[in-house]
Amino acid sequence: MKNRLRILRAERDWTQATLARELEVSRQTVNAIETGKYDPALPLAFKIARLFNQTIEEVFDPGAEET
Amino acid sequence: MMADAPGNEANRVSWLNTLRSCTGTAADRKNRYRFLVWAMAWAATFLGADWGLENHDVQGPTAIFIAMIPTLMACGALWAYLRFLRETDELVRRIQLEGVALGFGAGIIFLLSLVSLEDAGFAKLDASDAIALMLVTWAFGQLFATWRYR
Repeated sequence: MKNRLRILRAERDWTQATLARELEVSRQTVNAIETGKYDPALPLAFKIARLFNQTIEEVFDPGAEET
Repeated sequence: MMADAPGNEANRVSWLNTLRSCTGTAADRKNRYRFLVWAMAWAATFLGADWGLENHDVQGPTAIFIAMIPTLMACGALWAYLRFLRETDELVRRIQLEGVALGFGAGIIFLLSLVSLEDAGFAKLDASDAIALMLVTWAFGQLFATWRYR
């Protein structure tokens, strides 16, 4: 699943470590989501969307596979 | 001695935070440390109990008590590991699950194959070989899953 997490993070000039702290997850989790190697479960997806004031659909695109 | 310039201090803090984030969240580090303490206590009491029971003439309830001390420590390590799993984030949990699945599966396959292999004239192996294999494959499974989600 494709997502805009890296773009949203870059817009705020945050590092992966900063975002990981905000989401209370490991930096590895943030990296795996950004690179499309891992799709988060609903609670984390909601947390990400709320953190960036977006809807889940605006952050994650289920119709596209990460390349 | 001169104090660090604010920029240097900020860089150091940022570098430290990055290093810390590589080992998971603050809760992960605390839980891993707790597990490590229990696991080390388990190993130390296991070696101590084994040495004590082999080299001293201890029998009866005292011997049973000494033999059970490592088991109590092992239960503590198991509790600490389960707590780590409950409190860690979902990706780390998945990585741990893949490691445990590989370790458990390899152990079961090895134990079930053991009987047939012995019947076929293979060297006699015991349960400790299966435990060693489970630990190695558990660690390998975790490393492999960590690499997959790197």
